[in-house]
Amino acid sequence: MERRSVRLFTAQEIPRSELEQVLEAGIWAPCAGNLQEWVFVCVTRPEMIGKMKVVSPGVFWKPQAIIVACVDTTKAGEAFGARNAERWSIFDCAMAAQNMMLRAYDLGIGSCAIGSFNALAVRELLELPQNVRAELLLLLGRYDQLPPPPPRKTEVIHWERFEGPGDTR
Amino acid sequence: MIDKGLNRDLMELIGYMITSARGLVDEPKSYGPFRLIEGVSRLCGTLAKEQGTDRMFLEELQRTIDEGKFVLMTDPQAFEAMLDRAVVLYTRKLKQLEG
Repeated sequence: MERRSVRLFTAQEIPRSELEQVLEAGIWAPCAGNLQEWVFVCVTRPEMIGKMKVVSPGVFWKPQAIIVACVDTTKAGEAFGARNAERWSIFDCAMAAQNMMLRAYDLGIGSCAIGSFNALAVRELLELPQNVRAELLLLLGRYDQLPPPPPRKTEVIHWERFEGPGDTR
Repeated sequence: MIDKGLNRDLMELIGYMITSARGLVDEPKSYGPFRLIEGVSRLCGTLAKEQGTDRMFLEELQRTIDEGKFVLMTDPQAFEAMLDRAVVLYTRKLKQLEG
């Protein structure tokens, strides 16, 4: 529960061996049908990180690395069918991302999951094939301090049955 | 003649604006004001490198925006107050312009 979303990073480099540990944590995440339809592209070259930032309005400062969590849509479509492929593959990407963020935190690396990026532009920059779709950017970098924890909504937790106002529409 | 540095800054701002426009089609409505004012901040930063007499104004406007922009999700009223400060700052400058 100590992990926070870190957006402001220092210039300190992250050793490749630590990035490999973070990626390893990603591929050990649970996934639907053990399909492992995810694809991870780890970007560390500063000039490419700069270009990724340009096409990602949700990125404000330069991280030391960006892991682009992608889905192999061919693999997902064949296994889950057109109707469910997107749903399950996004779940799987999200679980892998959380695994990676927790491992990063263990290693003293700050992280932030970013959804505000242009997937077409990222496809062009990283030369992703048509069947590999970027779902999430994971920013990684060292930090001076963690942001303070925002308040959490505890009323969303229920025991045994739902208690509350019910349909709030 | 636009020098190489300015050209790169403006190229990147164009990239930010295009991808912001596309992203906002699907993103929460509240992101719109943020993306716009962030664009203004970045433009101020770029222009401040070039403008002589207006540099202080541009830097002050950028500072005003940057100090208050990240509270959008946690304190929307403070975000609105920042926007109002930016409007007043800009308008006072506009009043001083001749013609």
